[in-house]
Amino acid sequence: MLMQQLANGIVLGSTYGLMAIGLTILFGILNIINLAHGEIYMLGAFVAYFLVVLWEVDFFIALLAATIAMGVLGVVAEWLVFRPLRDKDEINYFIVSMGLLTFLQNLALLLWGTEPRSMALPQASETLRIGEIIITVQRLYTVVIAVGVIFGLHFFIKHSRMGKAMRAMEQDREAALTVGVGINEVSSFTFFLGSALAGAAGALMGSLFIVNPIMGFGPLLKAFVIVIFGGLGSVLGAIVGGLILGMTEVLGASYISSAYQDAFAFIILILILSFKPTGLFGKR
Amino acid sequence: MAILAVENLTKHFGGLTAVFELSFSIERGEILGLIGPNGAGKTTVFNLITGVFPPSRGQVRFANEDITGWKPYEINKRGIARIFQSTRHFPNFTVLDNLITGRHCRTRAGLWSSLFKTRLDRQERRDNADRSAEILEFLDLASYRDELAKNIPQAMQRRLDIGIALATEPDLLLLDEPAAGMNPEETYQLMEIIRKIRERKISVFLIEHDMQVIMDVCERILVLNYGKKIAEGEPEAIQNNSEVIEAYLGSEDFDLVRID
Amino acid sequence: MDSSTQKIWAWGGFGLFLVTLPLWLTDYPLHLINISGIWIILALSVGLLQGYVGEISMGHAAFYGIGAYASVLLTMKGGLPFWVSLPISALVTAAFGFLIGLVSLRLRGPYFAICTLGFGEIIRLIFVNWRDLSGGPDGITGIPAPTPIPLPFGGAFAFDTKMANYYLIYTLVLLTVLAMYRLIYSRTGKAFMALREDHLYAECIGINVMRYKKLAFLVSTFFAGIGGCLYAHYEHFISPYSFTTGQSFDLVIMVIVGGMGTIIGPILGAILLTLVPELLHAIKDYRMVIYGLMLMLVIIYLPHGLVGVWQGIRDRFTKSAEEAEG
Repeated sequence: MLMQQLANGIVLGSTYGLMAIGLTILFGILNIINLAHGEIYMLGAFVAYFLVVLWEVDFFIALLAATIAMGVLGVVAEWLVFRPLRDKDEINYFIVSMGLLTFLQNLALLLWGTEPRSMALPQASETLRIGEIIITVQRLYTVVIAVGVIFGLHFFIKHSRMGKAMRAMEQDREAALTVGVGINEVSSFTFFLGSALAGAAGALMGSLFIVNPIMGFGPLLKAFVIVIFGGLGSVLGAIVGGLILGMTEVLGASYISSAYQDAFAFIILILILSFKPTGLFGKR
Repeated sequence: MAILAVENLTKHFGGLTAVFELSFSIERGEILGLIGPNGAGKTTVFNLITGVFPPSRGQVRFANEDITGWKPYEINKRGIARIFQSTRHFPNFTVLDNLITGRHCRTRAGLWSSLFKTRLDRQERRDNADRSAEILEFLDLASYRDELAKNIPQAMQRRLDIGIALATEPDLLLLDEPAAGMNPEETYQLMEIIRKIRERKISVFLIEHDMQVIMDVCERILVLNYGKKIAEGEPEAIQNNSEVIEAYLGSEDFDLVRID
Repeated sequence: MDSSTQKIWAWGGFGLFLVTLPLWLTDYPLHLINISGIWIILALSVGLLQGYVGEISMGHAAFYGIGAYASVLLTMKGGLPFWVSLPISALVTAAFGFLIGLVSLRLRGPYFAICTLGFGEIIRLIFVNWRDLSGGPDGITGIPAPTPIPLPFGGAFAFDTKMANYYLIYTLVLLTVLAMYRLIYSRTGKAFMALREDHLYAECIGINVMRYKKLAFLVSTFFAGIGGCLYAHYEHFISPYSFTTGQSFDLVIMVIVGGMGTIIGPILGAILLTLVPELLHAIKDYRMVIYGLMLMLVIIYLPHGLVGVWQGIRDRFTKSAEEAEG
C-alpha cells in the first residue's frame, strides 16, 4: 500500500517538478515571477487535448506539439509583455503577469467553457504490475518522459552555448552583460524553455486527469510552494521539492479531509515564506 | 565626556572580516575624521553604529547607553543621524517634504490626531514648518523649498541629505563622504556648514577622501586599513605617520594634499 | 471671477449634483451607482496599501468577505441593528487584518503578494466549508437592509429603496475619502510614503517601518470590512463566490488602471470597471478578458493610469498656454 502511494506520489511529483523548474529558471535567470505560468500549463493541456481528440494525433506527437507551442507562446509573451518592462522595477513583471493570467484564463473560459474534458487515452486505463505496484501505462510514460526531459535539460544547460549564457546571467547579470551575453536571446530562450516545460507538464497531467480552463491555478500555487521550498532559482530544489510535494499530497490525502486539501498547500506556502523564504537550496 | 564609545567592534561577512576589534570614542562637541583606503571598512563602521546590521562582536555605547543591536529607527531617535555614501533621500518628494519627513521621530501625532485634526496635529505642523524653514536657511536651500528633490543640483541634494539628518535633531551626525563630487567652491561651503553644525553642539563623525576637508575641519583623525585601526591622533601626526602613508601608497586613492 | 471663487462654485455644483442624483435616475442606473460606491470604498482600501505603502494585496476579497459574514452573523443571528454591526464588523475585519499582517508583512513585494493570495484562498475555503458560520457554498439569503432610523417627528427613514441606500453608501464613500485625505496628508501618511520609497532610509531617519506597515494594513482592512458590510446589506445575499481571488484581482486592476499613488485613481478605476461593462452589454462576457488586457497595457504604456493620462493632458495644455504667452 505504501509503495503504491509512493509510486503515485512520484508520478505527481515529476510533473509538478517540470512545472516548478519552468518557474524557477524564469526567476533565477531573469528575476521574473510569472503568475501566468499556470495558464501556460493549462493551454499546453488544451493543445494536446485538441490534437488527440479532434485530430486523432498520437499522444506523444501531441505532447511534443504542446511543448513547442507553449514554448513559442512564452517567447511571444516575453517579447510583447515582459520585455517592455525591463528597465523598470521588478514588481512590474509581477503585476503584468497578473494581467496575463487574467487574460489567458478568461479567454479560455470564454472559448471552451467550464466543463471538464478528458483525453480518454487507452494507455490511461491499461495497467501494468511492477512488484507490488499497479500503475497505468500512461503514468509510467509520464515519469519516464519527465525524467528524460530533466536529464535533457541538465545536459543542455551544462554543455550548450545558450546554456552557458543562461548560467552566466543567473550568477552575475552585470558581468554577463559586460562580456557580451545577449540579454534578448537569453530572455527569449529562457521563456521558451520555461513555458515549454509548463506546457509539457500540462499535457502530461491533462492526459492523466482532466482538462479545463481553471486547471492552472492549483498547480501554479503548488509550483510556488515547491520553488520557494526548494529555493528560488534552484533547479535541484524544484525537482526535490516537486517529488516531496507529490508524495506528501498522496500520503496526506488519506489523512486530511478533501475540502481542506488545497488549503494544505497554502498553509505550507505561508509557513515557508514566514520562516525560511530563501528555501532549502535558495540563493536569495 | 564621550558621546560615542565603540569597543572591540568586529564584523564578519561570511569569510570576510570587514571590521576587526575596533575601539575608539568620540568626545562631545568633537569632529572626528575617519579615513582609509577604499574598502577599509569605513562605511561598515557607520552601518554598525547606526544599526543597519548588528556587529559580530563588540559594543557600541552612545551617551553611556548600550545601543548594540538596536534597530536603526531606535538609534536615530536616541540621537544619531547619518548621511549615506551616495546621495540618498526621497527624490520624488519636495525639498520641504523631505525635511518634514525627517521631523518624524521628533513629533507624535498619530492616527487619531491625523484623522481628527487635533490641536496636537496643528501645533506640530506649525513646528515642522518653523524648524524646516530654519534648516533651509541654515543650509541656504530656501530657494529650492518647493522643488522636487530629484530636480535640484547635485551639490544641493547633498546638502538636503544633511538637512534631513539635522531635522531628526541628532546629538551625533555621521557624514559619509559629503564632499564627493563637489567642486572647490562647494567643498569650501561644505566645510563651513560642518563647522556651523559643531557650533550647534552636534558632534560630527566624518568619512572623507578629500584630505583638504579632513585636515582642515577635524580635530582628531582615525585611520582604518583592512578593517583595523592603524592610527589615531591629530591631523599633523596622521599626515606624518609612516603606516598611514604606506597604506595609501599601496592603494589607488592617494589623495593626500599638502597643506601649506 | 477669480479661481478660488470658481473652485467654490465648481465644488458646490458637484455637491448639488451628487445630492440630487437619485432624484432623476431610474432604478437600474442608480443600482449601478450604488454598487460602484461600494467598490470605491474597497478600491480605496486596496489603494492605500498599494499606492501609498507600496504593497500589493492579492487576497483583499477575503477581508471584505469577513466584514460581510461578520455583519450578517451579528444582525441575523445576534439580532443587532445594522448601525452597531457596521463598526463591529469593520473592527473584526481589522483584527483579522492585524493577525494576517503579523505574518505577511515580514515579506515584501511579490512574496507579500503571494502570501496574501494564500491567506485569501484559505479564508475562502473556510467560507465554503464552515457551514455553520457561513451557510456553505449556497451562501446566505434574506440579509436585511440597514435598520430604519427613527425620525424625531415620527416615522422612520427606511433603507428599502435604492435612493435611501444611495445616500447611505455615498455618505460612507465621502467619509472614506475624507479619512484617506486626512491620513495621506499627515505625519502618518508621510511615514507611509517614505517607507514606500526607501525602506532602509526611512528607518534611518527614525520611522519604525514595521509599525507603519501594520498600521496601514489595519486601516486598509478596516475599510474593506466596511465595504463588505455594506455589500451584504445591499445585495441581501452573499456567498463564497463573491469573495474569490478573482475579485481581489479586480481591486488591484481598479487601482492600477485608475492610477496608483493617488486617491482619485482608485475612485476612477472603481467607477470605470463597474459601470462600463454594464453599460456596454455587448462586451459584458468579455469583461474579464478585457480587464486582463487593460492591466497589461496600463502597466506597460500608462503606468500612472487614468490619473496619469489626465495629468499628461493638463501638462500639455499648460505648456501650450505658456508658449502662447511667452
